[in-house]
Amino acid sequence: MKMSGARIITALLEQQGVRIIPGIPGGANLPMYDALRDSNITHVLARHEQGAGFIAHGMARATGETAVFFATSGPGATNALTAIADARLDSVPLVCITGQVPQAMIGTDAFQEIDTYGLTVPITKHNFMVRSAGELLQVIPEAFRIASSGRPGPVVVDVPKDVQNAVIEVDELPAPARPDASPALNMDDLREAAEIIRSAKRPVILFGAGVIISGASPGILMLMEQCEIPAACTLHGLGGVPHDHPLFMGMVGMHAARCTNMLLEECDLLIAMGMRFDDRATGKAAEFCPSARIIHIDIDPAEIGKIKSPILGIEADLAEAVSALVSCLDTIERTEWIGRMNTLKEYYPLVTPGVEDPLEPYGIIAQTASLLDDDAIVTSDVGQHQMWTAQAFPFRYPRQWLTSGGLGTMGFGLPAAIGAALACPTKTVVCFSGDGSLLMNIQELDTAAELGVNVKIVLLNNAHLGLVKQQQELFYGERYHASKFHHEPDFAAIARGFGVAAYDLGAEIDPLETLARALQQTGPCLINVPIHPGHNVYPMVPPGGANHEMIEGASYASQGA
Amino acid sequence: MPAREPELMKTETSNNPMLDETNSDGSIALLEINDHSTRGSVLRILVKNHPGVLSHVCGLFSRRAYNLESILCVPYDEGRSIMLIGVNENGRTGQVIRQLRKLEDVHEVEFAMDEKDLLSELSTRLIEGDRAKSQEHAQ
Repeated sequence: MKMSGARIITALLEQQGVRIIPGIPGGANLPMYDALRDSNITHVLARHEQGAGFIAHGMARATGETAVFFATSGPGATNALTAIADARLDSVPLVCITGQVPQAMIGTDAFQEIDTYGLTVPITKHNFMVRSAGELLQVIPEAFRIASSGRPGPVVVDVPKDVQNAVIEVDELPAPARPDASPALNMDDLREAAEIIRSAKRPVILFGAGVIISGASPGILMLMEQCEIPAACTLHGLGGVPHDHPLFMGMVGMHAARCTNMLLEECDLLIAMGMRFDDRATGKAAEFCPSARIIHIDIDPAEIGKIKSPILGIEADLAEAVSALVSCLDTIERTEWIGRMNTLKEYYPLVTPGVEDPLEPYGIIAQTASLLDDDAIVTSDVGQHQMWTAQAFPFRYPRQWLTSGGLGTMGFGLPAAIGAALACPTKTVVCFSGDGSLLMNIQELDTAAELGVNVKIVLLNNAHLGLVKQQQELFYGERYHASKFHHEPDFAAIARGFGVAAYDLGAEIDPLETLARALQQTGPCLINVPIHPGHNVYPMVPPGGANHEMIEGASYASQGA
Repeated sequence: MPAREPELMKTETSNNPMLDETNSDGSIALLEINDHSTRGSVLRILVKNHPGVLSHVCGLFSRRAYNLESILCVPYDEGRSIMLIGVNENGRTGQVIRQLRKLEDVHEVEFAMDEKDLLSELSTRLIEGDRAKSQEHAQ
């Protein structure tokens, strides 16, 4: 049959199971939009390409399936870069298809021409510049294979307009791509790991996003329980294990509870699983887990030995490796070590002042959580509200917590929440945001209003770039600069202007009742929560410091550390 | 909150030395490369021959701040090129190799055994030629 390049793209995307594509059309991708009109794929018109990219993030992160988004050439592509880079750092499977000026015009500084291929080399898992319609038959499936295999990541496919328009004879479409098989398990290594675990007196599991991506939660719970091993996680591991599991210690690192960092300080064996020793987790890497031998299991061999040298590195799919590991081990009792863990938990817990008050940081997070169903999805932006949420929200399930960890992109939360709501229409999606972050992609309120998605924005509004202010206070001698917004917009009015219902808890006689009412209604809404700018996130490890050098606010005075 | 502070549990093992190269597994050999012996090493990599592959390889070096000393790229066969890369990364050559192996366009990475003197010979010839030229110029 005769098919245009654009039609080949949409046909291959349909075949790949793509149901929704966020994006924005422009001159160089119009043929793809024309083909999309005849497709059964739903297009979601974002208000900015970064918004389109983060909507795709929300879909991919909430489901684990590869998500696609479209952008045009030039500014469309440059606007998309932040979302692509974010997917690279957080291992999110995305395929971004960009339009490009016709090949005859490439290199002429044509209207809306930019070197998308060159720009995306350092921020993608792989990228393609397609030079003929025939190439699309290999490139599109290949893009999905690469994005979803091993450690997932973003793939950019740049398609010149003449390639989209070219009509070729296609005998048969290639089969949809599948992820590569995971590497074969090396049972000798796993038996060795089991032996090391058996001989350890004070082991700790530290897991990251790999647990969520590979679905290793059941295996890790079995390992924890069977061998009495406490576990902590990174920002992206939250939800991998229920927050209230007696052997779970919560998030490690810069804003961990003191007990968590102390337990890692004391461990003699660190079992690092699906994590990459990010500096926000480890603090000063040389002083991280100083007494520990390390077993590192990761699907990405380049992560093993990158920051910390393990005595045993295992390249494997985490879920497969952990269940094999469990089968190599019998029950182990560690009464003394578990006792120690409980002592630390008792003496150095996370302190959450104001947890009953919905106008306090921990309070609004805890009260929102108590009003939600167990399966609600939570997204965040980046800053103080993100860390408070990570510390205090009772996460129970994998893929319940979507946040920009590696790149730390302010503006992530709202579009990601829209994406999650599109992918999981039966769930409530809550976006905890800050006033600084929300302003960075606030135009997506319009997208949310148009779609009527079930997204609740809980805006912790302190009229500051709070985490910047906190660092200026703690590390720059209170020399505040450019961290306060001297003009404060009326966020509720802005939301209503977009056609989104809005509430201001600061103006309510019974804020808790209003919060409950707002969360219960369907469709998007914004809940403005005035937060005193004096609140800091504690504890805090100074950037570049070791995890034992934690700074604590007044609420920690009784811990006497 | 109890006021008494628990004592720090004593550690029994000493600090872990940087163990880098003891993996017995021959296939992937995650930690196989003895970095101390590979200072100033030359890597031979087989890449897919297409516009942009050099960006991927050189971009990796600049992005991760690896020291790329020299690079030579020639066509190999239909669709593939060979690159010789002089790397000066005392202690991190293993990491460089693992990162290179992750690039989709890179088919093989190995230490250049037969060709390891090629880059230095070439550099000697280029520099000598250049000197001869400038001498001619001066005369």
